[in-house]
Amino acid sequence: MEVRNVTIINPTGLHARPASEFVKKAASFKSTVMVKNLSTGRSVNAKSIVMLLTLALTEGTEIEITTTGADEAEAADTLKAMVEGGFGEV
Amino acid sequence: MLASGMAQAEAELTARIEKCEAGSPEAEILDAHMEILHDPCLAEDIQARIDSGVCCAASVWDAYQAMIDMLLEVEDPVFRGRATDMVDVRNRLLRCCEGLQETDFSALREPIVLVANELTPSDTISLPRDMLVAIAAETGTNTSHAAILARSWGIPAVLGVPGLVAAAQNREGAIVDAVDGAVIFDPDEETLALYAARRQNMNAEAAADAAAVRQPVVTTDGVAVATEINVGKIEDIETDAAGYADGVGLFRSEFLFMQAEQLPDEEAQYRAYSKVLKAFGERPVILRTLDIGGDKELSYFSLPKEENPFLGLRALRLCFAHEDIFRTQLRAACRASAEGNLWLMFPMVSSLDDFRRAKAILRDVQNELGAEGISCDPQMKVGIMIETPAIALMAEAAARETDFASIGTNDLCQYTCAADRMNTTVAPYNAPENPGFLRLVAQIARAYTQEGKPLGVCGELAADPRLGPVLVGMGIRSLSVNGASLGSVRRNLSGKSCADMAALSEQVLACTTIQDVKDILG
Repeated sequence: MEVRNVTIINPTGLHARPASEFVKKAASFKSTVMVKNLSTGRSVNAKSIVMLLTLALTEGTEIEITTTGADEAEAADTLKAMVEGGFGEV
Repeated sequence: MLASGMAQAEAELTARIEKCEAGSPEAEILDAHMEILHDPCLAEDIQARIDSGVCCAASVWDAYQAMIDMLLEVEDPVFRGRATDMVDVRNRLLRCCEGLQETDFSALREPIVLVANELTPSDTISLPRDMLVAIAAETGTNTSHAAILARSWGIPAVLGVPGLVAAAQNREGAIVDAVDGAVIFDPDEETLALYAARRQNMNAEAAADAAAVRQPVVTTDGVAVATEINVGKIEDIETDAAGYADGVGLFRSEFLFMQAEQLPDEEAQYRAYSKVLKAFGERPVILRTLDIGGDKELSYFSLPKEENPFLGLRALRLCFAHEDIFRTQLRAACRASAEGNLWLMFPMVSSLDDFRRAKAILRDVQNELGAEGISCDPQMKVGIMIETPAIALMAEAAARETDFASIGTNDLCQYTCAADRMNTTVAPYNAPENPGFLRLVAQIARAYTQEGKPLGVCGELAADPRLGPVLVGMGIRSLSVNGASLGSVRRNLSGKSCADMAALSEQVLACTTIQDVKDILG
């Protein structure tokens, strides 16, 4: 199991296109991927766009990405980098 | 059922995405819908519910609802707003699970004959013009919106035929005979040949009409009759008829509101009105202020349900109740008046009180614009649409107070005859040949002729080959018709003498029954 903490920095948050890109990337890994909103403590399956939206990850929210499976390290690093990169919005 | 529903929903979304420009907002929304459709958590939840013995439709509904409820609890409005997308996807999936087809007309790929139970104005607006060969519907009459649009597009429509949808199941083709009001499914060779010949004949007539579009009307005894067109869509001003018409006798401003997703703001209205005015230059354009209510609804503006919407809060009455919407439109219209020859017309006036009230608001708006230094046409004519019997009976006073009037024969006829024009069963009662109605029209014509004020007819009657000449005979010198009818109307009137038409009108006005009028007109 790999765990990474990262803060949402793009202005629109994990919504619309950024959320969709994040979910698509998460789904491309074999590992299970969970995302936790650290301000509410709720955690959801990151391969589900609908569940991810219910976390309401706005700009400035700190999240925890947890991956478990064969490619867990690569998955955790890739997804963290994506969020840090601001999805091309910053 | 779920598997086939999923497959159909996916195919529909894929087809729509392919039609969109990549990266466009519409494409992004559809992509998001595709993701929701394939969401693993939703799929798992639906399957678990089905496995527990709940039926497919209820499982889909409940699983989506659980997620929608969660989204609706989110404080951030942007995230909460995504619940709408989920509702949309859920409805699509439920429909697909039932094996029902999408009624998104813009998805049509090949020309069709449309057979429907009922066509609402918003349905007809979303219909792509080039994909529609003919319309046949179980409800509606000659003056319903489906009929009006079909006429303006020049395609046949047969309305008010019960049992059509059931009869159309599993048919290969159909002939829609709008001349005799018949729909023939799977016609045999002989019938096809007969109709092919009839169509050829009609096409020859149409060619003669098309040529007549370019000729303004002068009767054989030298009287000019202005023949104008009704404009209900921006595309209407790009037609041949628009190029040669004497003006726009009816610019239905509400179509701008009906095509939009929200109330169009002042700028959007100003742009649309200016475009029409510029296209017509010196020729008059009669802009009718917002006429919604009755059978015309706006998806984004909920009107209270009424027992009798045609007798309810519609048109000018609705504008008085929502004065902000009215003022915005008046500002846009006044600003646009500097760009051409704009005449402003108020619909659904039932007394001169209505006219005075509307005019007071207009003056206020004009003063406001003047104070802002915005130029508008100070000579702009202000008039009324005569469509209630009450104002028709006050025609003499109305002719003195207003700059002009136009008779909306569709509504004036249904109100005078007390016969709902949307109700097929009373269609024979909604008869423009009713002598009571014709006398009322003649009374209006006399009043405006005496005052020397312009009077037109912008209802369906203006294009009627038998009754149009009667109107001219009454002294009406301006007829406004759908662009598609302009040629035939011009051809019809130019071949007649004004004296003959006056004599015909006198004969008609002497009649005591509908049947007598019909007998005279032949």
